[in-house]
Amino acid sequence: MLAFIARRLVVSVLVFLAATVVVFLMAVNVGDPLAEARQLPSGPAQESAIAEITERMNLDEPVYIRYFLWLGGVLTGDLGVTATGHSVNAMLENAVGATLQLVLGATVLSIVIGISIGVISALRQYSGLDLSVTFAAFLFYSLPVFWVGTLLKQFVAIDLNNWLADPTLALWVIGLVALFVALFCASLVVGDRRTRLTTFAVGFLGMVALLWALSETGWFADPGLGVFVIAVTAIAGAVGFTTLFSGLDWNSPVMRAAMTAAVAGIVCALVLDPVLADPNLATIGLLALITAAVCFAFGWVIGGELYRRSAIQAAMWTGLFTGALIFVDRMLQSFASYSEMKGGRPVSTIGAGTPNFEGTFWQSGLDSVGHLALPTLALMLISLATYTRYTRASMLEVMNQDYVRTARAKGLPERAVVTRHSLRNGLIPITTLTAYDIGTVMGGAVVTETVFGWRAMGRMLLDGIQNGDPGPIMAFFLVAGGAIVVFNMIADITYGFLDPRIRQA
Amino acid sequence: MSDVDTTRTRAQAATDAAQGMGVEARSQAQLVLRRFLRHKGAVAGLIGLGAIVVLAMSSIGFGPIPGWWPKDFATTGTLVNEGRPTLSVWPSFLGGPGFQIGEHPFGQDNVGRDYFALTMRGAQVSLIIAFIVGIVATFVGTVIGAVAGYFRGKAEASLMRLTDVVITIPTLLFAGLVAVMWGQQGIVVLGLVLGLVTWTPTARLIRGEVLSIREKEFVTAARSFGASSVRIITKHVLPNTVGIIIVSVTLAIATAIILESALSFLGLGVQPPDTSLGRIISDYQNALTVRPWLFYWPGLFIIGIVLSVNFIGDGLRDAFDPRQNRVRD
Repeated sequence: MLAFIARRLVVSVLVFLAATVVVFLMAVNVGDPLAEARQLPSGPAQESAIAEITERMNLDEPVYIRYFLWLGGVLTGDLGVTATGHSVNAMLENAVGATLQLVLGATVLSIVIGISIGVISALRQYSGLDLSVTFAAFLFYSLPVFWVGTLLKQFVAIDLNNWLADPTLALWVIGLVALFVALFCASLVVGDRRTRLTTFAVGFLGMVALLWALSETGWFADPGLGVFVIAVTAIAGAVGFTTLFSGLDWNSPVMRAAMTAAVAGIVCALVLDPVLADPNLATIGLLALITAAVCFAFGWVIGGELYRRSAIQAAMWTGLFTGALIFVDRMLQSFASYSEMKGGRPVSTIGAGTPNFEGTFWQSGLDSVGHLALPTLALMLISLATYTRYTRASMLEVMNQDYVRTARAKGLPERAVVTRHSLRNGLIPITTLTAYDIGTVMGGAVVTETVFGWRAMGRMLLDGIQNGDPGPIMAFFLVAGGAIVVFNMIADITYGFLDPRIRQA
Repeated sequence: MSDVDTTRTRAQAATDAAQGMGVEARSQAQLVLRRFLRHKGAVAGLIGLGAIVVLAMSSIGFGPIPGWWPKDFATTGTLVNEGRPTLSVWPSFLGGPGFQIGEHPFGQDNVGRDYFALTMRGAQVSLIIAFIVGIVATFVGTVIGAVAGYFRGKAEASLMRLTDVVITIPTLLFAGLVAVMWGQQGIVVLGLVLGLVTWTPTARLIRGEVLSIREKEFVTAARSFGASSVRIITKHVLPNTVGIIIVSVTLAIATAIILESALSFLGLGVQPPDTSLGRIISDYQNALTVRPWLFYWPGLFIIGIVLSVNFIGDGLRDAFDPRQNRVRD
């Protein structure tokens, strides 16, 4: 395995070096960095301007010397200067954070949501849900990202802000949302027509009641979950994770471990109130680590010899889920004050953050969310469709394998067949897809940033191409190409780890 | 001799038909066609794409050939009714004006140019570029994939490392650079250079398929007859990958439309005075609040084209490889 990883590492570095040569050759030929200086009236002023830029960019050297000068600079951490004399390092530092947030957020969200939808639609092949998901995937796959971005900016951002001024839902909106939720629930349950109809009716009525209550009490203007909702959701989460990892059984040690984790989480939410008033990122990370460790201990102790593995899994997932609930609750509670700080227009359409924003941890968190939400959504739609389609195809293929039939034949419950035998094998090919997708998302980020007026890496690249300036272009490539290489390598290594046949090849 | 054979075959067929056992022989192509026509989405996509191509190519004419639409996309004019679209499909018995095309079906832009003609020109350019990209990318990808997969060894290693290098460069960056360097020379050149940067998925697919086909007995047989490598690849290996090749063309075309429109939107693709669907959206993106039709029409055409092509590709894949669509048992 170590030899395999070492071989992959060497090949990746060489491939990346070759790619930098290709991009550099194109970047120095893409435009004329002296174009602006040539516009000056001819005379000593023009000559000195040309001489200055030539000196700064080493234009009098042959291309291969310039490449090695650039490479030498990169190896010592210096990305060079632009045609106007600005440091590329400083430009990149300002730009890279926002872009990486956008790209990682969109990738992680589309992987999680895309794979879940893909698995569900494969398990319910040719149902109404499956057909609608397949069609929606086709539609999303065909949407140009800049067109969607502009639409989102217009309709979601501006109209949502207008709506938040007086957030009540009309009856037909409530009915429509409830109808979709109920249809979704009904297509998830297994059973005869009567079960489906009951699920549909319960889901529809419950959703109508919930939305009506939220709308009437003005919840959307001042949201929050409250201890009671957190408690109920955490317990429901405990039951759900237990069902997923070991099957629904109220007296099993797994259920007891998950319940303990949920109750401990709820108690912590009450006790930790002063700490959570205005924490920082390190505190949150530390709390998450403690939660994971404590839940691991719960699972270890309560699970006993026999159920240890699934008890630990269920307890840890429940604990982290409860933690996430508390996190979301805090964020929602500071929404009203944040909305006031932004003059009642919390969803932003321009830029990657409010300049000079001062606020608590939760308020700055909301500020990031408000700026990131729409670009991330626009960027997500396309990858989401890709992940859904590939996961569905891969799961369907695995569900037809002989070992799945064997698993059913030996009497395993369907839950175990799906999670233990199909899911694990079905998700192996998705690792390669992630590596492919990251390049597309990087390109999509350039377009999305342009639509939403971010001054991030997309702007840097486009300015570089327009001015014929290799510095920023190469800086963009170092980050984007580097991400592709790293993702490819991780995918290859994961694949080799999951599927021993690859290692020998 | 042959007469006797035919008579015997006919007699056999008649017997089979009488016993209800008649099976009509179908060629591979007929089977594929039947499966394709059974895929409703694919047929709808084929009709939709055909309609868009015919509309775009015939309406404003192509090159020296004049079209049936009287206006062109460059002439400015006076604004009629603030340039609102005159197209209406709201039937008169529901209180609407009935079906009518009117003077400017898609409206006019802010200097009074006919927007239907402009959109049609954009669709023409986008379609031409996309088809060129599809053909070039598939050709390059097929050659590289087939050579790498058939010869193995050093050829495979170097070609696959070349593919890795191209994959490492984000497509938008690569395409943007080549488009700025060579795209000024017209849309055909732009299509060619975009094709030269988007062949990698096809190459990987074809290589994988050729790797398994080259181990088949019929390839060994051909080699034992002394057939040359070129003959084996073109006559024995590639015909067996025709399904993948055709599906690759459709996928490459769909990607190309999106890629070209994104580049033109960023100002790196098609340059004025010519236009494309992405370029039009970029030119009028600020018109969404005042003249929304300037934003919708080109976008709807992009979605229409890409959706149709994707459905055709899906139908073709099912038709060539029906195993993927097997119902779970």
